[in-house]
Amino acid sequence: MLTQEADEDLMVRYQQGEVRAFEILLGRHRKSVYNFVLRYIGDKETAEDLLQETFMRVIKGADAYKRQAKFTTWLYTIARNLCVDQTRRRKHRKHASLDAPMAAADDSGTLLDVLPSNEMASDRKTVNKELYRRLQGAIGALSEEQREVFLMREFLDMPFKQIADVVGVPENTVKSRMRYALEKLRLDLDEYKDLAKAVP
Amino acid sequence: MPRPGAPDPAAPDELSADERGALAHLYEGGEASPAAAARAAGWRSVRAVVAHARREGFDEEPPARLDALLLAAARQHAPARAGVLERLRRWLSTALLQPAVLGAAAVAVIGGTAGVLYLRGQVRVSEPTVGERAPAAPRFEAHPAGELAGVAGLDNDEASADDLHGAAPGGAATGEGKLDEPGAGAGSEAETRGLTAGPDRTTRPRPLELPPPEQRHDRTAIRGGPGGGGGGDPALDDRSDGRGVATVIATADDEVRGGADRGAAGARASAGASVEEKPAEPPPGRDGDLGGEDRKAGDATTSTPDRVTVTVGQRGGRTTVTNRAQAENLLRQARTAAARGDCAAVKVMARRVRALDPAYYTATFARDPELERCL
Repeated sequence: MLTQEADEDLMVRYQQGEVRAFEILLGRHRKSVYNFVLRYIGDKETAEDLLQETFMRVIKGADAYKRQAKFTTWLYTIARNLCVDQTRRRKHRKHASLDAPMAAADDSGTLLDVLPSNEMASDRKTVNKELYRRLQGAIGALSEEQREVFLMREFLDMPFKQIADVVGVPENTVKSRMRYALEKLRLDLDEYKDLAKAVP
Repeated sequence: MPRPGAPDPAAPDELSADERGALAHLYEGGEASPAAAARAAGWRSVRAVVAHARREGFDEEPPARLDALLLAAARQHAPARAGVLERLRRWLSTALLQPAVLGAAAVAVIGGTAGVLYLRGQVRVSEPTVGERAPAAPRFEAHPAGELAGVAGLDNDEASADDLHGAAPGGAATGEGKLDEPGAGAGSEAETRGLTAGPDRTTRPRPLELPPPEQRHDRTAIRGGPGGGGGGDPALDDRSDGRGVATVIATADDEVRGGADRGAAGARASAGASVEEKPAEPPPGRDGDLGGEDRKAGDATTSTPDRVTVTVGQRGGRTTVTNRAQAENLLRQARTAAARGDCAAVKVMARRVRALDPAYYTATFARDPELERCL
């Protein structure tokens, strides 16, 4: 079955012209790549563009892909590099931050307040909405080095060794960055630790 | 926020033993000192909050429209799937790197080529020598269109042997069709019927269909017919009332030239034309009539006692080579005949060579010192 094949095998199949193999790869990784980029950049519209660009590069670079390379390492290296480039451009433009107020008034709310929500009780919905805002704010407050390491470890479940391959630094450096990221987030999200324990 | 890639001055890369132990305890479940375990507990709460948020819908679905766009792009850029030939080529390019395989492949190619040539040799019977046959049988050979037009235009006129040709407008892309008048003496008569090749047949290749072995003829001539005795007048001009035979000799390398339009521009040579051999009948008009009612555009037919249909595949590219080979063969035979003093045979062969390959005739045949006295 094609759906049970490894990413690398599917990529080789796509190299040979089997579009269905790419379709399966896209289905497997689209959501994780999108959320990685979204949490890294903090902007939905840009995240959509970068998701599209990431897979476009996979498509165009399919000929150059070697079976020996782990597909997810290649995929997230592309996504991460796009995020880094985008961040540099944004800094140059002095783009508004995600957690900055949308209007001039400080109480106008932020982009995080318009995150979509699923069906749930309104009080829980409100709590989660606040959690999302705080979590995204805390992640956004991390340095880029710490943020990317934290997102890859916690959102993509990548081992430190693979993160080191993607980021291009030694594994110990990755662990060090992770340590700082966890420490900062622990302080920022301290008030939610009981919530996480309470909810099954 | 520091620049991407720049070291975070507040975050040295070195990990303390407690921190290293805490990370290992947190992510790998290893043993940890009490201090490391306490630190890991603080970090675990962060992981719990993140996990809770994700369970509650922190993760988002990307828009579905992106999937459609990406799939369309994937289809557009998908490398062409290698076909059978391409895969074979790749396999061969790898396999041929081995000297043993390369040698075996060379043997196979040489053997295959030899086999093909041998099989073709069975189809194309070697040219008989002059000595083997009686005064050389006249032949119908391809002529320029105008030549035949001049003849065929004269309805019911007699045509000389050389005129009984399917004319080739170009010649280069045509094969040759030969009508050999059997040496039937005065009683031989050649009649061509429907020796035409329709314009549509000039370009359409046909599979090679050979007659059964018993009906397969020497390319040089088919002798016989009721009046055939083997010693007849070589010239078809001498046709008389006998029921002679006119045959179209077609071999694998031959292409029959038939008149495409006998009444007007003359016959057109046709690659892949159908050659039909019918029992010869007395012509409705006069002997050698090329304008008979049996002629039909699109067919190259002639008559023999045995009705045989021969369809010849298109071999336009081989025509010149074949003609040259035949001309060379004829030159050798002509030399033999000249040495024997049989100048009549030499002249017949000279005509054939001239028709087959005019350039070769001019450059070689006509200048051959051994043939000078006969030409």
